[in-house]
Amino acid sequence: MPRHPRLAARKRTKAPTASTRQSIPRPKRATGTQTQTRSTQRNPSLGQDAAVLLEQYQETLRKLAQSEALNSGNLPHAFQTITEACCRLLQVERASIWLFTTDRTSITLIDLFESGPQRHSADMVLPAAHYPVYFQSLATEERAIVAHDALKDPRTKEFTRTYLAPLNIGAMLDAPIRQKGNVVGVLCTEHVGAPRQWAIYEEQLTSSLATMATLAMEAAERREVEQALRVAKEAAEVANRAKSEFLASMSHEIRTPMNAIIGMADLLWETPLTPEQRKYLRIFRRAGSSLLNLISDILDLSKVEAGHLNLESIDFDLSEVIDKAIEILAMRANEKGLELACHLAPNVPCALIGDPTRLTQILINLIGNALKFTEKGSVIVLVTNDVDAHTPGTIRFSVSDTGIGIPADKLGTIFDSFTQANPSTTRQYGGTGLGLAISKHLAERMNGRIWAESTAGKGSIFHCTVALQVQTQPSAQKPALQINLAGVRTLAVDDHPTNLLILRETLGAWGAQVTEAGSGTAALDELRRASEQGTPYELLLLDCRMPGLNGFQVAEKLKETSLGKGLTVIMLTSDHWADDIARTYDLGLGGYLVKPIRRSDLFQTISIALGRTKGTSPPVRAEPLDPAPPTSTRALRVLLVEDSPDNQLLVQAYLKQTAHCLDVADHGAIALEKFKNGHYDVILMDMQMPVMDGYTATRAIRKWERDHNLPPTQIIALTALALKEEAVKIFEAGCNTHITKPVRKTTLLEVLQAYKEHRV
Amino acid sequence: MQTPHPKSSDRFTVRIDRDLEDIVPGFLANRQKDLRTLRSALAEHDFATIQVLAHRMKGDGGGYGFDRITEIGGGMELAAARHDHPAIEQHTAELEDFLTRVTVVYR
Repeated sequence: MPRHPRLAARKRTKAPTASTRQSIPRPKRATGTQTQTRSTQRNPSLGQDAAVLLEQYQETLRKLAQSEALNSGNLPHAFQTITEACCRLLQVERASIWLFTTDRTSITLIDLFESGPQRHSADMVLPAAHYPVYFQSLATEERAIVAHDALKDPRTKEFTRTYLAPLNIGAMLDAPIRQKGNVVGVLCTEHVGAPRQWAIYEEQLTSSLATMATLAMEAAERREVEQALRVAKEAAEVANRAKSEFLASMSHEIRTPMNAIIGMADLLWETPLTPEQRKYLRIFRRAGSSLLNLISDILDLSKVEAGHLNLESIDFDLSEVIDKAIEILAMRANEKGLELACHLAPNVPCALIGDPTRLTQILINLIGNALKFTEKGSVIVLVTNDVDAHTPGTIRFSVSDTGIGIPADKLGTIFDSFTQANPSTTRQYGGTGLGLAISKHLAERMNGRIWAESTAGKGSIFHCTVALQVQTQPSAQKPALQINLAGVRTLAVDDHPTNLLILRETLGAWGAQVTEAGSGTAALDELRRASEQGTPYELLLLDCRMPGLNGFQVAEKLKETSLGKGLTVIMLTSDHWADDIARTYDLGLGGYLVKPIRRSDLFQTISIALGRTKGTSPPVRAEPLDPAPPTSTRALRVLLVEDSPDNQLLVQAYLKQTAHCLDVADHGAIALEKFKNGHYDVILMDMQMPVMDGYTATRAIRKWERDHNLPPTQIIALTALALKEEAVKIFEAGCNTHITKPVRKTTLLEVLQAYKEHRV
Repeated sequence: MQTPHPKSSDRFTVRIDRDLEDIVPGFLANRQKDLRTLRSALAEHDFATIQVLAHRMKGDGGGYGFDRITEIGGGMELAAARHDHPAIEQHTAELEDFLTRVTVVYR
């Protein structure tokens, strides 16, 4: 009903004739011609085609929702956009956004848009206490405050004197702005002039715009949090870089004098010292080298983190890198009695370009870890082309072990610095936990990655991929080791399938006809079968340690029968290898190979063994053998513990021609004193002696080593080994190996040489 | 280095590495001393001493190239363990016989 006197002042005077509360404007009604008899204005916009209007609303809301203004988090801009849209769509003169102050005692004008002067303004405050009914309604009503006649509506008439009259406001449509369920402000649509009959869709539109205001506020909050996070992250990165740079330079600064300290300690070690001094110096050197290792790790890690680690890009041979890593760790595997095998798939390119030193470092870390956390069983390294990559030179190393495994929830964190799967494992196994973190960084720098799979208690597999370049023209490539084994009937016997695979591939490539057997019994059956068929084997590679019939038992059985005739036997030894070597000689076999099996060793041993047993010269290979590697510059310090003066003289005579230094103790008690005050690489321990026998002395030495946190010294028992129980007693006492008495010169020298080559 | 058993009154030859030339005479002289010690120990029924000497012979002989001495020592050690007087006498006689007839050739 029109009731406003200034109806004529409005441009649009037409209004729908039907219900004034319609959810959707109908175009036909919008064009109604009924003269309004009351002064209340209808929606001025209804003069337009309603469908077009609705479309316009929806389009504007859609655009707003997606607009930069609303989503950027720039709140003033967002509010201005909303108030402008509100004026435009509802064709009102004033639209404003007010927000509650934090104490909720008043609302503050954040933005007011006046469509006439096209002007924005702000900074006005309305205290809640002055307008209690309005604020009460705002807080309690679910929907918007729809005041068709603001001067009469009980909710808004409080504003008459201070607000409505001065500004000539006739109608108000105020939609609450809510955030997380609370009313935090209000979007006010104010119609200047006569009262106005708001349509329900206009109320809906205002509520939608109020929701836009909520969205804008949330976007702003989000931006604020993001900003804070970004600032914090940048600060952390700067701090971390600074830390890494500090560590890198500190580590370097520490290393320089540390090298001098350790070097001087080494020199001091070579001088005459009192027993007491030597004891102190031993601890000093050991602590020094531990510290230096730790510093090296920290230096590496901080270099990587600070981005200072430059990788080399040089030609190298992958098989050499693998051999080197395996060589370094073989002794550790043998000492723990673990089977260590590495298989390099034949299709993997070996002439690569990259950083061999850092690749070796990764491999040593992964294999070293596997050995460290495995007490029993095997560590197998498989080198293959990465199946997930299609570029040549992307290589995967998989190191599997039968160790303690890693709980599933720790698999993600073990690659973090200073982390081991369980704090208690750190106590048991030692280590800083830096190795994997460094390896991970290095692998990533080589465009690869490291990950692990594991079953706690069963074992783990660590995978590492690296993407390297393949040499296009392998320059001056070393000729592959070649030995002509064409047609040589060979039987490989080992209970570990990986070792059989390595033997089959390597020997097969040299032309041998390789048959495999997984046990001693199977080997004997096969040898017998071949012999009966008139095609006896010529070469037998025999693992020493196998369940059931072991290698030596097989060799002994061969000697007893005619099966061993014309057969060259090579023993594959691992743990207790010195004893194995001694037995190989005692049995008059062709030769021995200390596991893990390496191509070069295999080549050499077979050449010599075939040449030796057949009485012919060793098979010719494409290139002359490399000159023998120079023997270690430092000779071994050997302590002989022996009561027989004749045997003392004998061993002295054996070693006279070598560089090894021999010290002699007449019985165990003297040996123990000498050991505590000196330094020996190898102890040759007679077992039956007066005063203190070899068992007691060995146990005492082992205890002293444990008490002083020293690595175990190689102790070789010298005994006739008449009884099996004696062998058990020897190893129980803590001896590493055994040599049968009487000691032959060749055996002793071979054993010492083997120890020298394989010590870490 | 195979040491033949003494079959007759002939001398027999043991070939030994030249490296050991300096110490072999001393070794053989020590075995002569052992003979005396063995006899007095036998007279005194001192089987412990006999066992020690026999054990050393067993452990040392072969290393020098005298496998026969290792063999005699092994037998004597077992005999001493069971206090077998006649067997020890027998082994002592074998040792004396061997020491009398052995000739060493260094190569």
